[in-house]
Amino acid sequence: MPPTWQIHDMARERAQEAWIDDIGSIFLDGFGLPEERAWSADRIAHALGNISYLALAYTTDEPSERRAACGYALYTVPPVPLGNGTYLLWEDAICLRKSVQRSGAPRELFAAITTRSRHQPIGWIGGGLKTLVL
Amino acid sequence: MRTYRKFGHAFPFAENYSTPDGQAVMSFLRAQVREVREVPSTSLDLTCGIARGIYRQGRLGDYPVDIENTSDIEQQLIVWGFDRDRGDAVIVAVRLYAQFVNAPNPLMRSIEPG
Repeated sequence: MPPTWQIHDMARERAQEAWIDDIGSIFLDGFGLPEERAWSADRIAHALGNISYLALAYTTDEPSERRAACGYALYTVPPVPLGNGTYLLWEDAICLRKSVQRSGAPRELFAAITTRSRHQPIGWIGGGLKTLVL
Repeated sequence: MRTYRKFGHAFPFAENYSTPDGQAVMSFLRAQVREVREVPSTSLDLTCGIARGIYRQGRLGDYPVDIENTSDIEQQLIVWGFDRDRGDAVIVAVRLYAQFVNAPNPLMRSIEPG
């Protein structure tokens, strides 16, 4: 079963330490990187301060008290529409733990983020890509 | 990307950035998207959208590239000289098909897992 996504509007919410910890951990696991290639907490916090939305993925069988996220995606929506009056959803970063890669998570993510965006309608999605699948 | 390209018309693969529509999209990205704006002009191919050498660390991690249903894109990237080990990225913008613009949720269910 694909994970479920929780969407945070970063214009209205402050980044929590738990989110930063989770993102740092997912980054290393998802890309298979050693600790010395870690994304520092300061840089993660800085990134979260400059985006429109943060999406965090959770698997449904985790205990509810302290669920660790298994994926993240960072999005920015420019304030100006891109043609035909629709907005661009720009994917600044995305990563999933290896255990949930190829689980169909991006499909669910797309539905969650386009529904929650304050900028409507979303008519475009983009990003600077290195890989073609998650 | 394999998922998103099912949702619409993907620049630069379905159409590159040298067409009138493509140029308009790239102009928008250069003006409005920080990640694209910060790519030096000398590193950005304005036809195929490849930003060359923008990741100083080169290839990031161990993600797979031999992926089902993306061989056509991989072939195109090879033709364009895309090099992950050099730290290249490709700027992709997908214009969503009309049925996905206003009511994406129910329609997502009809798409096969990507």
